[in-house]
Order: sequence, then structure tokens, then C-alpha cells
Amino acid sequence: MKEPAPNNQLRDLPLVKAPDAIWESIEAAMDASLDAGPKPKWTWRPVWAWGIAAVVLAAVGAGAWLITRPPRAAWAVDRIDGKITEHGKIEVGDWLQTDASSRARITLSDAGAGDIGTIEIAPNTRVRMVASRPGEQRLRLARGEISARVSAPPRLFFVDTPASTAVDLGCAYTMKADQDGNGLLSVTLGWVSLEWAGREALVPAGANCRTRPMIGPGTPYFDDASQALKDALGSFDFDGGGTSAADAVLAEARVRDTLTLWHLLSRVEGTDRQRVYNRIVDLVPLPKGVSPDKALQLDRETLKLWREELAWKW
Amino acid sequence: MVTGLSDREISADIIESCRLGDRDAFRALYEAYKDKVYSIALYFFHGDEAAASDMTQQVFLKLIQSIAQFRGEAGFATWLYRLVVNACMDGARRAKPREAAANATVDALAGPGSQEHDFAREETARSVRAALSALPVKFRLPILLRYFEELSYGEMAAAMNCSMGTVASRLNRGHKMLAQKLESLR
Amino acid sequence: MEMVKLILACALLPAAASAAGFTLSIGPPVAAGTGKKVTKTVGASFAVRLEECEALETAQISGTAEGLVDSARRSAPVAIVATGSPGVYVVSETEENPGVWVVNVNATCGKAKAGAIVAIGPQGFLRESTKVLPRAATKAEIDSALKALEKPAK
Repeated sequence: MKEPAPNNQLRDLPLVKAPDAIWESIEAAMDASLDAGPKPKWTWRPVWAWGIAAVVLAAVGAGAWLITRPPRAAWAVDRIDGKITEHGKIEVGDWLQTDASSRARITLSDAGAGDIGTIEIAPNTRVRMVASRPGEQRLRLARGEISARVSAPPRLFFVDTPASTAVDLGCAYTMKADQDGNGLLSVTLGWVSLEWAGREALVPAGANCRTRPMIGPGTPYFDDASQALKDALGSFDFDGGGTSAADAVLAEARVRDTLTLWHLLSRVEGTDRQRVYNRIVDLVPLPKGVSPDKALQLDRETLKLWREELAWKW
Repeated sequence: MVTGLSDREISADIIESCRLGDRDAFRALYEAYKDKVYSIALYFFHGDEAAASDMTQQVFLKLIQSIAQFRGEAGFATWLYRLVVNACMDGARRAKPREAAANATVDALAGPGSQEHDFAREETARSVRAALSALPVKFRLPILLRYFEELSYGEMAAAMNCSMGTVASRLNRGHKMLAQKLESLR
Repeated sequence: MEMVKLILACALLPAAASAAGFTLSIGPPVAAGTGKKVTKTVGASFAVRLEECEALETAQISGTAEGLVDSARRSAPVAIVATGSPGVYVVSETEENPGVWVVNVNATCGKAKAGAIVAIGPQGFLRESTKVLPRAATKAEIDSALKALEKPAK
């Protein structure tokens, strides 16, 4: 049977770089899989030696890797209520799960920065320690709810969920993920960057952001935004609300909601974008140094400057 | 540190080195295939980065556990992607049914600061991802294997443990369904 | 008489203009910037920016937390940290206290002065209850701001 010509659009599907944390998890798992039987010596072979038929080890299957390594990095785990699956500490690759009546607390530590914060694990939550190395502490939230309070330098602590990665920028926040991978980030102190596949949402204290698989982060909004704005935004982000939903957001927006409108600017195009721009400028006059043309063309530096000026009104 | 290998040039020496516990050699194998395996997993699991990371880890751990059994009758890529197929199918069986996002209006995928000329491309990628996600598993997987690794029909048949005719049929139907989905998203 | 008033007004105009020009902007910590400067906003209550200050190198800023705890007036230190952006600072309370609190901010730019009474809530500053002034706040203004915070919102 003749294969049809591949859809041209498949060309636009990018090859995605595998995260570095995967290799660390593999190494950790290999280190942990020690066989009780005879263990082969660890060998470091120079490239030229591959061609030499010199067998000095015996393969022993799954547990055949042994290397002298420093102890695996770990976070301390305390039970708050009920029963949990891990006690005392959690190491890279370990899962921690709470049931309906249990809660736990993880103390985050970083070799370079020391203790950097805590994560409270709510009932019915499943998390995994993904990576722990100087400058990168990473947790996966498979489902449930966590509350993080972090005092580390920015971009040191990460939470992976099915629909986004939350990048700590010095803050306290709550992150939820349901069984279908839908998420909700609520920031109470500082701010968090939500990132997925090149899409980013910057969420400051007092604001929230929803996430959906295959879409990533929605558009951030402040807690005290009107319900009508929140509903219209949900429709726009996830239910195909289109222009009418965007217009409803514009109609409901206050000065503080320029957080939402600024993000919306790069999520619409053409006349919709012009209307978003006009509404922002109606609410807060365009700051010095921000060119209207460049803003509408989504020039990165212009948008950054505009955001930094708008932030004084949030 | 072992330098990078081209995708299809896995020599018997490297396989042998892996069997003997050479972590450098295994790292070279990993580096040669990690992005393709991860990308296939990512698009297969509806963009769930955590699930894709888990599956990638699982595949490579399984690889090192069973490399002693690799005899070289099939090419290495065929053997590796058999592990990928099995892991994807296992994951799909475990996961809850998920409503596809195929009908969602394509929102601007570009983050703050993206340029106009990337906007259309990002929208298209988003449509393709949504359309792929809507395909049944048995059509989604061969399309991903074909697109990312360009396996031959014979290699795909060996990886998927089916006949070449079945591979051809699934590719054909999968492409048609993809085209229909993309048309409906315009 | 009218002429005298006009002359006096003209004489005072340059001083008034420069004093009126210099002012403060109050915003959330995120307003202090992103990237490398973010480290200084961890745990901050709000950000302050000196506006229309021609001589930033001469600018000075100070502040104290003023509170009403069980009807008794109290003061506490605050930490004011430069962020690296010219004229931008973050202000953090140094201790958690019960009761209602404001931060009294004073700044000078050459001979010009500006001030602010920044109301503090559980999640940072309260914009609607914050006042920016063209001079240092008076004790009466601070007391009034605290009393207003004590009253439950209607």
C-alpha cells in the first residue's frame, strides 16, 4: 500500500530536548540497583580501547552497576497527619504519597544554598523528587496539592506538573493538579513563572493561573478580578471563546487587570491585539520608552519594559 | 567523555562496552537517542512532560537491563523502539481516557516577546499537537515513529510486533485522520 | 496687594515645581524588576521608586513601620534594600506583628522631599489605603491611617 505524503504540518512539530534531569534519575536508579551477587568493577575506557577485545568484567544483569559515589541527595520528610509512604527522607526518584487523611512536609535543601524552604503536601497527593543538585531542586506533582514557601535565589526550585513547570522566583504559592492533569497555581508571596513549550505566564502575589495539558499555562489574573472577567478568561484560554471572550475580558478589566491584558497581548493577533493594546493604554498611559509599533509587533525588550512599568500599578 | 554519535551509527563495540558496564558507552547511546525518545513520548502522552520523562527513563533503564540479550539480529534502533512502543502502550493502558483538545480554538502559543513571523508557525504546531492527541493510540504511535526516527516499514513492523501490511495500513489511515482533524481546526 | 501676591507666587514657583516633581511610586515587589534583581525581592512587602529625581546619587530613603497593637502605638524597623535599578528599592518588614501596620517612608532628592504612608496587609501593601505625599508624613496622618485600617471594611 502506498504511504500517503506526510502532512506538511508535521514539519512544524519540533524535536524537544530531553530534560537533563532524566539522566540524573537514570543514574540514581542504576546506582540503587545493586545486585547481591558478584559485582563488576567500574571501568572508564578511553575511546581507543573500544576496539580492543579485553574482557575484564562479567555482566550480571540488572544489578550489574557499582560505583563508589557520594550519598544521594535527599530532602527531609516529616509526617504531619496520618500515614505517608516515605519517612525521614526522600531521595531522587522516590515517590511520596498521602492518602485522604494524611499530610506531610518536605524541607528543601540545596548543597549550595542550604535549607531553602518547605513544601506542605496535602491529602491525596502524589509527588516525586526528580532532581537535587546545586542550583536545581526539582519536584514532580503528579496529582493533588502542594504549598511551597521558598527563600532560595530565583530559578533554583522547580515543580513539574502535567501541564506546566512552575519556576520559583522567590515566593510562596499553592499548586494543584487533578487526575486529568489540569492545574491551578495561586501565588501568595513574590512571584512564579509558569512555563511550558515556550509559553510563559508570570504570576505575582495575589494572582492565579490555570493550566491545561497540551495548552500549558493560561492567562494570569488577580484574585480580586471580577467573576465576569475570570469566566471570560477561562473561556478564552481553554474553551475556544475567541474574540467575544477576549472582548469580555477587556470590558471587565481594571487598572490592576493590566497584568491579564499584558499577557493577552501576545495571545491574540490582528485587530484583537490592537483592541487589547488600546484598552491597556486607556487604563494606564503608555510609559516613556515604550514604542506603540514595537509593542504591537511583540518586540521582546519593549514588552519587558512595558510589563515592568505596568507592574507598578498591580 | 564520549563524543556524540550519529543516530544510526551504533557500533558493536559500543554495545559490547555497555554490556561490560561502561557507563560512558551507555551515556553515548543515551545522548544519541534521548531527544527522539522523549519527543515521541511527549507527543504520545498529550504533552505531559512528566509522563514523557518517566517513560524515557523507563526505556533506557530497560535497555541497560536487557542489553545482554541484544544479539544484533535486528538493528539497534529497531530493538530500542520496541522498548519505546511497549512503554507507550503500557502507559496508555494505565492512563485514564482523556478528552482530546483537538477542538480547542488555537490560541496564541507564542510567549511574551515572540515575533510575528513565529506566531503562525507556533499556531500550526499547536494544531498538529492537538490533532495528534486526538488520534487513537494505534495510529498516533506509528506516525510518531515514522516522523521522528524515519524507521522503515520493516523496522516499524519489528518494533510494533506486527506485519508490514498492518504498519502501512495504520500509517495510511493515521495520516488521513490527521489531515481531517487539521482541516476541522482551521 | 494682588501684585505682591503675584510676585510672591512667581518667586516660589521654581521651588514648588521641583518639590512637586519629585515623588514616590509604590508597587508590589515584582515591580522592582525581574531577572538578577529578583533576589532582593524575596519576602519584600512592597517596592518604592523615586520619580523625577534628577540627582539620584544624592537621594536618600528611610522608613519605619508604625503600628497599633491592642490600641497601643508601636514602631518597628524595616529593611530597605536597593535593587540595582536606579532609584528602586524594596521594603521588608523585619518581624511579623499583630495589629495594624503602615510603613512610613521618607525620601529626599537634593532639597526636594517626598513621603508615603504605605498600608500593609497580610499579602503585602494595600494600594487603596496607601498615600503618597509631597513631604514627610505627619504623626497625625500616620495615626489617622492606622485608625482607618483598624475599622472593618463596610
